[in-house]
Formats: sequence, C-alpha cells, structure tokens
Amino acid sequence: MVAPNPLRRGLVEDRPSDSCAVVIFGASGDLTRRKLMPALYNLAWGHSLPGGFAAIGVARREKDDASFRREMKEAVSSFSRRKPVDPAVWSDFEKGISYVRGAGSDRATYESLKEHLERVDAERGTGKNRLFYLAVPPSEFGPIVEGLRASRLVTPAAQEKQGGPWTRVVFEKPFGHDLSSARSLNDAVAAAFDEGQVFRIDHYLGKETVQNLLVFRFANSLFEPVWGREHVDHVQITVAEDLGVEGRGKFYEQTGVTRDIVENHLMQLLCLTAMEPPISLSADAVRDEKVKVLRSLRPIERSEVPKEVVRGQYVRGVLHGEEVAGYRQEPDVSADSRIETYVAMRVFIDNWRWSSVPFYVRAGKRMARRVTEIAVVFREAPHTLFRARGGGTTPNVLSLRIQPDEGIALRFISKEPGQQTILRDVAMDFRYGATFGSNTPEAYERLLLDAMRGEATLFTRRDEVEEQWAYIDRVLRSWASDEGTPPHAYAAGSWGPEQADDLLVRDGRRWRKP
Amino acid sequence: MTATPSLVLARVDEELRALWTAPSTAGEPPKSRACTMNLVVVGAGPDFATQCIPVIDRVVAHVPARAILVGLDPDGPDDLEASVAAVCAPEPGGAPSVCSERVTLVARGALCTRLWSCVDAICATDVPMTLVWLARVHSDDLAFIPLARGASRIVLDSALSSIASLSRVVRYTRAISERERPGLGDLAWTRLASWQELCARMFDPPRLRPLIQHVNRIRIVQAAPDDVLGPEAALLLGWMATRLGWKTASLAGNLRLVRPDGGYVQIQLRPQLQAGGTGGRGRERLIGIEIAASSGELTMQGEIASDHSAEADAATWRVQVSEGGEAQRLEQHTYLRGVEPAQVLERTLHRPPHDDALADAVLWADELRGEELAYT
Repeated sequence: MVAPNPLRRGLVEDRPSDSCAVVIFGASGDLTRRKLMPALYNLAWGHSLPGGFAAIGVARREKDDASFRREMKEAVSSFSRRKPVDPAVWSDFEKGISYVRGAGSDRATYESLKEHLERVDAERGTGKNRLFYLAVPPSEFGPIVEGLRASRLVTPAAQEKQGGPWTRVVFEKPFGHDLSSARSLNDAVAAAFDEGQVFRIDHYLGKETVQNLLVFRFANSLFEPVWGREHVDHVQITVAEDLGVEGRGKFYEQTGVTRDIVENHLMQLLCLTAMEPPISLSADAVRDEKVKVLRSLRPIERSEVPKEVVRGQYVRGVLHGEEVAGYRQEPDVSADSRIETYVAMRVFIDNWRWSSVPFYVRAGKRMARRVTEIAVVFREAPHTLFRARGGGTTPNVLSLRIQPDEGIALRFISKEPGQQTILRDVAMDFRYGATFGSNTPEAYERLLLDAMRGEATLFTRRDEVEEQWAYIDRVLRSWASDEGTPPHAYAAGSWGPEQADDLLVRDGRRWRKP
Repeated sequence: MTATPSLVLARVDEELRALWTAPSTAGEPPKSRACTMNLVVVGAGPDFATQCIPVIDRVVAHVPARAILVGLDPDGPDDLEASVAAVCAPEPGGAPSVCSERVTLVARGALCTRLWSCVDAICATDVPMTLVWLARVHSDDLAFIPLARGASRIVLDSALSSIASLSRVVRYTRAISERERPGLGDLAWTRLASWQELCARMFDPPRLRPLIQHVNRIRIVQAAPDDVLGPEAALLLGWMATRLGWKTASLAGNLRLVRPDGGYVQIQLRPQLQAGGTGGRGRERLIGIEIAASSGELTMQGEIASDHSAEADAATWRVQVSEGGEAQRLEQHTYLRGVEPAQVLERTLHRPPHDDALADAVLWADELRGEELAYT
C-alpha cells in the first residue's frame, strides 16, 4: 500500500487525480465533442489534471493523431466554457491526445489499444492507471467490457488496494433498456470489474444545483423539520425540455421519455428530495439512503397505470412564436409511433416521512420552456384569518430550480401596503448566478474528475439502477400490453396533455407553471 | 464646515438605501442587490481607497458584497470622508443587473483609531465581515485590533507586509477560542497555491511517493535585490517543512533542514535581479524552485520555473526521473494564477476560512528570521 502524498494534505485548491490515461470509446461521437473533451480541457486549464495525463480516443473512423487533435481543438473552441482556447494550455493538453482506430466488437482493437497504452505510459507517465469511458450506445457496452477483460486491460481491484495501478470504467446512460437488460448488463460488467471500479453516469448528479440539494437540506436547520408529511402537502418535480428529438428520432423511437429521463434523472431528483440524512457523505452512505427511497416507492400495479400515469406525444404546435413539427413528423420517426415524449406520474413513497404525500413528477419534450424544478408545496394554514380577494390564500411553495436560472425561491403571503388588508404572493428569490457568478464547472468536469479520483458518490450503484428499473418496468410492461391505447396528444409548446392536469385536479391540486 | 463623522455616516446610510429605492431611469435595465459579506479593505494613505477601486469592483462582480474601502491617514486632521456607489455587473441580453455596493472612506487623524465604530455603523446586517488589511500589523495597532474583533475572517498580504505581521495575526487568532476564532487568509499564500500543487504533483506517482521522505536539496530562486529570504519563499519552505516534518538545524553557519529520518535537506537561495516592477507582489517574488530527492538508484529532479517578468503568470514544470540507467522526463506548461490581484483576492475569499497549513507554515517561517541560507 502506497502512503498518501503528505504534500496533498490540506491543499484546498487543485485536487487532481493520480496520473492516468482516459480512454474514450465513441471518440467520434457528439458526447466526446460537446462534453468530454471540453470538460477535460477545462480541467487542464484549472490545474485539475494530473502531471501524467493522456486522453485516447477510440472509434471506427480512420484518422491519425494529428487530425483527431485538430477535431478536438475545434470541439473545445466551440463548446468549452472557457473561450478562446488558451494556446499554452492547449499546447500541453494536446500532447497527451492520441487516437486508436477500432471497433468495440473487434478483438484486434484491444491489442492495438494495449500496445498504445504501454507506449503512452512510457511517454506520458500515466502510471498504468486507466479510465475507460464508454460514450457509446448501450448495445456496445457488453462487447467492450468483454474486450477489455479478455485482453487483460482490466487491473483487478485487489491490486489497486495493494498500491498497484487502477482501472475504472464509466458508463453513459441509459444503463439497460429495462430491468432484465440492466441486470444482464450488470452481470456482464461484474464479470470484468469489481463494483468499486464501475462508474455509471447520471450527469444530473454532476450539476451544482443537484449537489446543493443535499447541502440545502442537511446543512440548514430551518427546512428539515418541515420536510415531511406533517407540513408538506405534495411535491412536484418537473423536467421539461423545449427541444424536440433533434435528429435522434431513431434513438427516441427505442427509448421514449420514460427511459430517457424518468428512469434516471427524475428518479435521482426524487431520491435526493425524499431521502433521509445519510450518516456521512461517503459514496455508499449517500447511495444507501437513495436506495431506501427507491425501495419505498409504492409499486404501480398494472391496473392502476392508466389512473396514475399519463403519457403523451407532441403534435404540431407553436413554440417561442414559431411553428414546430409534431413528433411523428420528425426524421426517423414512424408515422404511427406510439412512443411517449411526455409522461406524468403520481408517485407515493411508503415510509414514515412521506406516507400519503403525493409526488407528482413529469418530464416532456417540446414543452413551453426548458426548466427542471423541484417544488415542495406546503400545507395551507389551518385557519384563515384573512379573507383574500378572489378566494383563499395560496400555500407556501419552496422551489428548487435546477436549470436554467439555478436557484431557490420561497413563496409566501404578504400584506400589500395600504389601509385595506390585501394579501399578495411574494417570493424570496435566491439565484446562484447572481450570488456566485455564472462560470461554474460543467457537470462533466466534476464527474470526470471524480471518476479519475475514484470518488463514486455522484454515480449510481448497481442496486440503485436496478431499483429504478424495477419501479419503471411495471409501467413500461403495462403500456406494452396495452398497445391499443396511444399516448395522449399535446401541442408542442404547451405544458403537456390535458389528461395530465386531471391527475392533479382530481386531488384538488394543479401543476405549477415553473 | 466639515461634517461630523456621525453626519457623514448617516449620509452614507441614506445613500445606500437610496441606491435600491430610486426608480430606474426609462430604458435602463432594473437592478437588484446581492450581498454575501461586508468586505472591508484597509490600507495606508488617503489615496488607498480610490486606488483599489478597480480591483475591488472586479472582485465584487463575482463575490457580491458591501465593499467598504478605507484609506488611513493618521497624520491628517481629524476627518472622515465618504462616498457611495453601486457596482453593477452588466448582464447579457438586458437581464436585470446584479449589483454590489461600494463605500469609500478616508479616515484622518483620530478617526483612524475609531475606524471600527465607523465601519460598524455602515456594515450590512446579517452577513459576515471580512477584513482585508493591506498594511503591516503591529500588536498594538489601534486601528487593526478593534476591526479584527468584528471580523469573521482576516486577510493579509505577507508579500506586501511581512511574515512577522502575518505571524502576529496567527498568534492573535490562535488566542481566541476556537468557536469565535476568525478565519485567516494571506494573498501571498493564495498565490503559492499553484506552486504547492505543482510541488505535490512531483510526488504523486506511486513509484515516486517514497522519495518524498528523501528530499535532499531545495533550491529557491527569487526575484530579489539582496540575499533576504522573501515572504513567498519562506512560506513555501514553511509549508514543505511542516508537511514533511523537517526541523531546522544550522551547520557551519548555514541553515539546513533535518528530515525525520535524520538526513539533511540542503537549502539554497539564488537571488535573481529582475527588471521592471514587482507586479504588485512585493520585492522578493518567488520565481523558481528545484527539488531533488533520491533513494537507492531512484532519483527525481523536479523544477518549477516561472517566466521571468513580473507580469508573466506562466511557468514550466519539469520532472526527471532516473533509475538503473533509464530516464524519464515530463514537462508541462501551466499558469500560476498569481498575477491578477482581483483574481487572487477572489480565490482567497473562496478558500476555507480556517487553514491550519497556513498557520503552521507562517509560524515556522517566522522562526527562520535571522537564519542564514546557503546562497548560490
């Protein structure tokens, strides 16, 4: 076991990982261009990469190191939050960038990669530590994992514990297509990697505002006492996008919004909102509490699905003043597609804290605006002393805005100045951008760095993924058996189908317009 | 007739409130106020407050605050001057501007000793106060001590004052109960953060980690007209020594450091005259460090060399490792992020307030005064 570096003790800035090589499978893809390489560059700019570092792209297309570097420089110029590209930082950074041509299913790829990595270790001082990043469709996860294992590119976790080099693997979502495929994939991964070497990304967890949820809940004494059934009437979680499928019709036809958003991002937001305080911030302590929430979700029986879940599909409409096409008019989408682009659900968490408090969650494409928000709606005052014009008073709402305009707002009632008692809703509004500036690290910067450091708190564990799928699978199976009922239509640019409103109206509530 | 301090402060208070009650002129985007702290910046001379406006305005664009900039003129007639302004960061697309507040004060004569009372009267309530004291500190300073009592954090710049000043503040804060103890920052220490990181990086590879217990030579290059060990170099040495458990020992008149295993670490200082100004970083700016370590056949020579001009922020980091006739060399170019004063202060404000490594390094460095180093 190698002792920790004593010079790192107490350093408060710039905490890089061990020297390592990051190997990106899917190096020609959009994720590499838009997110991964800009994130690595930003880490280099901020001194957060280790002294010995290399980024190796693996993809099918024929290209040499020089052309891959050129492509990546263009990508960084376009998508990095730090513009323009700093010539000195780039000059060093690009020395570590190289390319290996190959397919995930081709055994020869791994032989080439192995030789290449040995060269890189010698030239760049990467110390045989490898982070494999699978920025590829889920169908390629299995062959790549097997290829890495069979080529002995995976150092056993036990060796790392004894001070040897480490190997880690990062999977992009979606991790599986349903519970059964997620389990099979997990089994395949477990045959090659120890769970401690596996990092399943849900990039929402890398967002500053999502991380702040834990801080907000557990570092402030004000909110936790009212965070439960005695004071909370209901919770609304919205993940709305104004974009359509943006050329990913083929992908969307196989997934739909439930698999794309609800099974991962939305479930994670729900867990962070509902979980009990963890005993520490260690990866397993936090993930244990999230799993408890997932296990407490009241299963939606097949017969209950039509009542508790509303699915929709956008049709032609007007968004931001412009006419936009319906889902079925998108490229690579079937003209009679029944894939849902919107879903709303009423979810119950059967535990002590949340018993009988409904969580209304919704996610959709082509909605009126892009917004992700968690709104905790409190119970009304038990007795109304004040008669408000036009009806009763409105409940207090604490809204945690995840994106955009990240922040926290508390709505409460105030008296309007004047002789009469006129009540008015006002908001105490805290905006991150206003208080801390807007140049915060991208989610992928944090997540890549955490993976390089071996910090897994912001990644999902095997049991989490499987519990998420177990809950969603019932809904998906119900839909699959009910092929006669199409999703409800909603106009692009609206807040979803009317039937989703009914989900709340019958409980005497309504959706917020965040 | 000059207004009394209380009238001046009443006017400041009124003007601060007026900033946020006055309607915006037609067409002007609305403004909103943000405030996370009172940032009280104090320096010597009647012009100090005005001179530091550009730096502080840049800082509060990222750390919203009520900035109170104070120039001290103890030799002038008793008087207090003040002015108030909103500092608004323009938002893209005409979005509402988010503004901080800036109050500039010039305290003259006896007002310097009553400064704490003036500042107290105009601090924003319910947010902490950070005192940035950009002057020397003496243990009986009548302006510093009362202000420091109200601060949740005290920030100095030892490169502009001295290690002795910083050491006095460390001792002052350590005498306060842990619960009430203000945080402590040093702009020179923040400037050293990249140096520290780059030094630590030399020993990150597991193969080289054992060498950290076998450092045998450190060579410091500093921009200095004479042979005095500057605050930055002293702090860096203090940091390494306290992290690695080195003790001081003189040998034949020269300072040496003794490792926990009894081995010596030879310290060499090389002053290098620099053309041009100091870049606001004091005269004895750190410009390079070399670290050598060896154990058996394995040797490591690390070097960090900053570009020579005072305004340059770039450095080259090199490590050469050899073992059994095989050599490996790594080189990187990097930024030290220590030139831009606003950036350095902003980073300091973002650091955790309590930093034991700083306090340990300062007290260790303070003991070095009067010791002689080997010069090369």
